Amino acid sequence: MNLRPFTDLNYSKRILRSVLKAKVITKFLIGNINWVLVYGPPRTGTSLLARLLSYQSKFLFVDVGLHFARKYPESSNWDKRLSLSYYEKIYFNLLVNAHEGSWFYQKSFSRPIDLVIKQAALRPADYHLLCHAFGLPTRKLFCIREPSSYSLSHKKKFNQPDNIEDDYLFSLKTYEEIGGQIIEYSPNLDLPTYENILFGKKVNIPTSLNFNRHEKVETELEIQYDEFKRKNIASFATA
Amino acid sequence: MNLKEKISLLLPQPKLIPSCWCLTFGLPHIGLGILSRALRDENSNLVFDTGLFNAMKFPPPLDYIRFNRKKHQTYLIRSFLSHNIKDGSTKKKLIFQESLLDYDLYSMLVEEWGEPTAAFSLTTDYDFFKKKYFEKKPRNTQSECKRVFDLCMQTSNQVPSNILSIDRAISLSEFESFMSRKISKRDRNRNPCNIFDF
Repeated sequence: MNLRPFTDLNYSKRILRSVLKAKVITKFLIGNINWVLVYGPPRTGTSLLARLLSYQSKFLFVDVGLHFARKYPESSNWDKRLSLSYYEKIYFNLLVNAHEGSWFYQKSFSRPIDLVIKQAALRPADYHLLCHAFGLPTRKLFCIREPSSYSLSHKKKFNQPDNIEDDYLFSLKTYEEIGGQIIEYSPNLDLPTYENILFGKKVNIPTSLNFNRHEKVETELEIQYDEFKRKNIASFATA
Repeated sequence: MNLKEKISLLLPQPKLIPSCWCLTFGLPHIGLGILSRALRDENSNLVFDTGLFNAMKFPPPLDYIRFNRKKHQTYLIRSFLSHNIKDGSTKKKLIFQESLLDYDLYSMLVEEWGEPTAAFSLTTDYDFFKKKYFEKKPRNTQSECKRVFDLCMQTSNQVPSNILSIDRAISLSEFESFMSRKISKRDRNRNPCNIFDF
């Protein structure tokens, strides 16, 4: 995700950012913020979705590796109270420092979503901790992609063949616990369709989509994917 | 989270410092615990293999992640301490044993707690370490063994400490002279001519 640094902002934008941040933190302190979760296996359009959502959101943080934060307290048997306050501090730190997103220059004051959190390969334990800190998300979006296209893209990006199937199957399993609306990353979805799914209207986001087509290769994931699709067909987003 | 919990996020965390702390680090599985236990007395808490170095790596250092790392690490160390040295406890002294200590964690600890009262590390040659390592972790790979060895040796060179090198049999008198302390009760039944089974 190409994000522009703070230093590029002029004073009026900095003031706007501070006002929005103060508004979100106040809302967090006295109630619950309006936050949207984007998750799914890597290479399934999660970054694209977070970027599009940032057009209507005040802040976002993406792929911070939430599960790494759990390595220490789990191993050292912290008591529950200490452990929870440790995560609360982490999530509050992330909220306070959250990015304003790549559309900060483009968009006006009307940003109905307070925070977008995108985490590829999200673990259910991290989802529950997020809910503990921020309350339930207003919306949960699960990204998925047809297995052969996913496998080729994953291989090209990460070059870790062992993780390809594991990441995919783990995420399908995670969906059973977290749920949400399913968005299938495919060349059939154009920008207006995305806008309609995400915002229920056309908002003219100044960007273009670039879906890399891959030739179809049969993989062992097809069966699990077909089964997943059959079982959750009602949750798949349609234009 | 309720309102009280949320407000507590805004309040500064009280600073808690051990009255003194000793550090032991170095190669694992060759007897680092013997050093730590020799340092422990009735007024001290021994904490080992805390994994703090792992927690300090969160979040990954990527330019798109904005996070107040310094604040987080300070909180982490203070929470760790409040968990291990409770207010009102008579045990205010800490023996901190971390075999996989890295320089970043050491710097953070020094920044929070000051210089350690005493620091000891354990080294040996690769062959002896490898033998001991695979006795404890037979399923691990050679490359992982080498990685741990290199990391620990690097830290031994970076962090100032009294280094005990196990390159021969170490006798009880030699060990006690090096530590300026008696060996712990638990370790008294070790071979007095060869404490570390070299």
